[in-house]
Amino acid sequence: MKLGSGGRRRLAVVAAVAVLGTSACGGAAQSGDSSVTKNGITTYKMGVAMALSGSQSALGQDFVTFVKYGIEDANTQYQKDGFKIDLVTEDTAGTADVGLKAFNKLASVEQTPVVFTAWSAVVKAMAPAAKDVGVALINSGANSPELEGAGDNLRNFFPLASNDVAAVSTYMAKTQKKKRAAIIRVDNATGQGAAEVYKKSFEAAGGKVVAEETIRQDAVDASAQVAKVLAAKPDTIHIHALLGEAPVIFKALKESGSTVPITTYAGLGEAVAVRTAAGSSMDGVIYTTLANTSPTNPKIKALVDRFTKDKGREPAGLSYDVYMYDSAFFYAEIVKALRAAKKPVDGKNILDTIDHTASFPLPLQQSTQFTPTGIVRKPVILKKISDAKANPAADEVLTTIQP
Amino acid sequence: MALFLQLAQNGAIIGLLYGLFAYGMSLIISTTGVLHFAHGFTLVGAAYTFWWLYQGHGIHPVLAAVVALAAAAAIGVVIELGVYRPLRRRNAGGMVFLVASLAVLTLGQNLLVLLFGTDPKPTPPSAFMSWTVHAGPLVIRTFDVLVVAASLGAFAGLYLLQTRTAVGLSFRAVGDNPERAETLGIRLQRTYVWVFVAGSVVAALPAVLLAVQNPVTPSMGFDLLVKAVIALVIGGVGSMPGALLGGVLIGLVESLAVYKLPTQWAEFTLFAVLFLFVVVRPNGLSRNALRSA
Repeated sequence: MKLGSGGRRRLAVVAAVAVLGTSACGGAAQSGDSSVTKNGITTYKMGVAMALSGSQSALGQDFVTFVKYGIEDANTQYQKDGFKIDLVTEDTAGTADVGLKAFNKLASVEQTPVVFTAWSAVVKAMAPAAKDVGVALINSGANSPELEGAGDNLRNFFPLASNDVAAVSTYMAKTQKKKRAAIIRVDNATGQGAAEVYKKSFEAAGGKVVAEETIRQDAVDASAQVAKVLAAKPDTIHIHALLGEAPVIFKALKESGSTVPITTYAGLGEAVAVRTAAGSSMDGVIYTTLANTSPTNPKIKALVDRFTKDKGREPAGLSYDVYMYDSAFFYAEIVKALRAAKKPVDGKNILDTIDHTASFPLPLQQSTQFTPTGIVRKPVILKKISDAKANPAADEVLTTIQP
Repeated sequence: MALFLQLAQNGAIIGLLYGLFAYGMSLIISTTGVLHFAHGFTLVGAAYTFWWLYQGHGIHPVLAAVVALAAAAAIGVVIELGVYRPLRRRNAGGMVFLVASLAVLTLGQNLLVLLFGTDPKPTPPSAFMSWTVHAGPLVIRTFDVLVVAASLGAFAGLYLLQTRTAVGLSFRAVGDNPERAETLGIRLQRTYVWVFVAGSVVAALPAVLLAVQNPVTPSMGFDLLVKAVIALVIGGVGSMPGALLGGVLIGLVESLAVYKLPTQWAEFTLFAVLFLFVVVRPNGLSRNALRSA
């Protein structure tokens, strides 16, 4: 059978569509091993998507610096094993839409088999995409409890609010004998998830959440929220917000004349930008921290000194930075295990290794273990700010709550 | 009742800030006919100037505030001379002015990102700013007193400027009919420069007040710009008292809406009120709204 020119054109179009369709399907399948071997050393890409612009960048920039430190040190340690890690970063601005673009670039253009990221809204947005392209998505700094089981390809290397927020709310109800709690939270996944955990655990411990108010990210006024929660006459207030709006909340509480004890989490309690802006209104605030950042720890001290020498200032959120530094070693351990098993370092194998490894040795946290639902649980250290102007490492340690 | 009064007070204070910003913008719009969205950059430029001098270089806050006002005036004049005047010479249409204004706002914000980064720039609270007094159920802060004083000062100052000085009278004459004003000997270009000076200085007042109270970010101008535009629509575009009144009204709506509703409904309520005004009273509260705007 001979085809006419019209038939040939149709056949060509069908063939082109078939080829494009095949390649598109291939692109959407498992992300392959993108390693490169040169001079006997194999380099593996580590995708890191953090908030490098916008109101969250004070934390995000520091996160990437600590990942870099981790990679530098891990590359020295694992050189004898014949591989090294190469950092590839993208900016998420701490928002879901920019975060998704960052993820797509890392997965599709850079072909990174793994993406480490933070901020709950960002992680939630990336989780379905990670499954689609077969990339392992590691949450190394977000804490919304909704992230537990949020995606087949998501593993939470950073403890969720079900760990630390539950601990502080139970502490306030049982140890501090508080009965009426109020919550002021940012109006996104971070605040929503934390508020749900706080409410559930506070009420399970015999208290009652009498008010819950939300604030828009980067809002410049919190006086309405503060007036409303104080009208409910709480005996403790939990604040779960982000860097932009948090100082406004602390200041509004202080200016209202309230003396109600305030609790929060490390993302605010340790954040130098928040402490500087809020000043003495943060004095007395109790916050959770999920890593031992005591300056008496020589490894922590060496890291902080290194950062201070490089940047001329203290790190913005040290307990998070511990996880960022350790994330490089966590990935290196996975790569080492896969190389030993002669398996390619791709998304599927990375996830399998996480799921089937009992414990990962880490330099700062000693080790980490994942639960069957892909989360980690850590001891929660409760600290109290005596002087917001001082270094967070100098804050008083109230107690350590085991998971 | 105590909560209602506290919310009303909060709404009035934040509303005065919106109103101040809208007031400066309205002055420029009513005189030049340009929808000056780049006013948002004037605000954020003034805020960064204040922060840079006060926090970065330890300059006395009053002196830093004065320099920030001057910087705002300079930004306004540069925009007029560098952007709007060349467009006017080419008889550009209103849409071109609008796009140019938005471009200046975006470019300006990005310039600040390049210079200072995107992280919030806080000003540590001083003992002066931490002062509060309880008046019955209300808590009055230094910030509240400063906002009221700045609003009254700006309102009185601009009223005197527009009714008692040749420059101020020329604003009204040019805004009313530029061709006729020119035939009466008023120099249009000079009037435009002066109105940008006056309007930008007024915009710098909320900028400095916000910089004292909250961390400064490159995007802070856009939020206030949106509220100022709503205030102008409600108060009547081109009406100076209307801008201030519109600002206070939206501050009160935003704040009092949460008396019974959850706080996340505040913006919804605000935009519902805006929608009502657009449909029912498109010229806003004022009868003297700018017809051509």
